[in-house]
Amino acid sequence: MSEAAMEHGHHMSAEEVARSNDNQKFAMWLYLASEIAIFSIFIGAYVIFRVREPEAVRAFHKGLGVTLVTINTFILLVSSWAMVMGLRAMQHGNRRGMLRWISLTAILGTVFLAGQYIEYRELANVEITLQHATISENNELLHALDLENVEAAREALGGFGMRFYVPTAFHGAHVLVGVLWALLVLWRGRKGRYDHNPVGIEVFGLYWHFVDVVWVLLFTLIYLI
Amino acid sequence: MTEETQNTQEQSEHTPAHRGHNDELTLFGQTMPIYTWVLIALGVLTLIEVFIGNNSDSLRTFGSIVLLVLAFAKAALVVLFYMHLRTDSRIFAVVLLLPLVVSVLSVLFLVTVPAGY
Repeated sequence: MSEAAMEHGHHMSAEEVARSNDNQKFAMWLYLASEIAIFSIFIGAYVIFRVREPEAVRAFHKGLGVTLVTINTFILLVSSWAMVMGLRAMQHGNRRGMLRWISLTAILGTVFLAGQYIEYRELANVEITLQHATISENNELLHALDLENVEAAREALGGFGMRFYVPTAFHGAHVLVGVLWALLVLWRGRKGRYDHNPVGIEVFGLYWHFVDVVWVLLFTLIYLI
Repeated sequence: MTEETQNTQEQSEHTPAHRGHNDELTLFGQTMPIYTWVLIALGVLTLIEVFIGNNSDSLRTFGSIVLLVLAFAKAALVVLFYMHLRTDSRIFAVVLLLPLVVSVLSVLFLVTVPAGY
């Protein structure tokens, strides 16, 4: 049976539809489990760096502040809310409402990516790069601190970029995929694909909320602790 | 009633298409979808986190522990309510928790390994 036929629920009993829906959600949960393993490696690498090089992280915190990333965090939280409200609208038979909410999700995801781009540019301006870099003596992040051992801090700050960019950029790539997926859901939704069975929206929602959960943890671990 | 109509009617009672009609919650005299209350809770917890994070120099280890607890509380809210783990099959929770527990234990172990080992 084709995916379209399943989503429309044609020629399937209620039990078959329910089983098919559960299978699709289970498949997504299994995929998310593999994502947990990948993100854990990046987060683990960052946590170890955080424990061993506290001065470098302190320089990052003091130098950049959390205003931009806090705004970005709120944007992602609201996008997750818009996502689940879109699913709710479809469950209530309101296709137009669903299209509006999922559009908002896609827009907020795009705004989040723009915010991340701005942040990366700011970081590049203070010599935080993906590759291990030699930080100059007059680096403004170092000047934000009252350091006893400037050389050690310069060395540590040089290694900060890799630990920072890998998890955040990998997360950003997931947001980008999510935005494209949202556009696909909108396109299919306009054709009435989810009118009788919105499991396709629910599966996309699992992905989008997972991306939100990862950010909730990254925000605290990288920007606040 | 044709077979197809019957199927559609059965479906409408059992599939997620019609789940969630009673998903509103009244708090402080305000009735809103439970998802909106969760968003408000997430926002408040985030503001508390940012406040603690900005004062973490004075709070040190205690502040870090509180921040981690708040982050996991926020993650739990999203998973339970937005991802519907509160009401969905328990097997989904197992699929989530198994790699999560292994990952957390692995990271905790690696943190204790001395540098240069």
